Amino acid sequence: MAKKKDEIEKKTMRKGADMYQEMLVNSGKEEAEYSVRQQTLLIRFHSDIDHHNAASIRTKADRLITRGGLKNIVFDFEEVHFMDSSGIGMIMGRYKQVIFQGGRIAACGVGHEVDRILTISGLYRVMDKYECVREAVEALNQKTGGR
Amino acid sequence: METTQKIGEMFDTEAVRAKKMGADMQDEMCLTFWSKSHNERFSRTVVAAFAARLDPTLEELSDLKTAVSEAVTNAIIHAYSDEQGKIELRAELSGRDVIIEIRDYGVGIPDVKKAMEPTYTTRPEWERSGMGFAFMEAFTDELRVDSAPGEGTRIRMKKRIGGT
Repeated sequence: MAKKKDEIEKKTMRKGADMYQEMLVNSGKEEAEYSVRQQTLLIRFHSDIDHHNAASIRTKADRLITRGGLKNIVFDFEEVHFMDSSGIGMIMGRYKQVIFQGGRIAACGVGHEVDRILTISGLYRVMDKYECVREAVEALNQKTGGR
Repeated sequence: METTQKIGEMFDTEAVRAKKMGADMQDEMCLTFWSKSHNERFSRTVVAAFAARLDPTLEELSDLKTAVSEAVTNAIIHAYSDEQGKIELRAELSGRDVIIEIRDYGVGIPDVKKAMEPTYTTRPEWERSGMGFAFMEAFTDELRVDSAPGEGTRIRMKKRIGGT
């Protein structure tokens, strides 16, 4: 009886350790939430934007834009407290994508840290900043005649 | 290169001066990790925690985190090609200065001057903006890059916390 209990305990411990490992490796939620507003892709980031995240954001965004024939992108930085040049590269890459179709990009929910990076990188030359998601989406859908 | 030599001297003089002053804030840490992208965030957090002792402003903290992120990301992307290798992160507190060193033992940079040109990148297909070094320079007071093909790369940055 005691032996069986030991075995069960060992198995549970091992499973627990595996789950913990998995949790550590895949730590965290999705890096962003993607939704569509007429012709615009809305990306609401949930964490830091760096090289680690940028690739998967790029893949998902591009897939949605292609499949949905989307024209514009709104980046919602409300939950972002850190972004480095990898984020700049990702935004530039998306910009190059949509401008091809006559689309535009916009930013909203820009906090202090993100604002500095966007300013220094000169990204505001190709991207307008809005106070909130609704404003940004409306502005973009209007300007590019989104329906 | 003459400029890098002067920077190197500055580093030494500061540390020596600080020791002579018997500065309270003298500390050092060293961390080694694999060249995996999830360590970008980890290294930012570690440096921020370490520099916290100097009571930096949010902006100074942001600067440090960004500079470290750029250097570590460079090492992760470029140093070891398709393999994994070790990256060393060293940080030192000396008076009001934070001195950070990021080192890898990978392929090295053939032309450092060219690599540091804004928007230059060897990975345009990965949407690299080429702004890494520009950001490092913008957010720190001193930057020194030592590298040669086959000899790895060492990036040293210094930032004064709490004004000049």
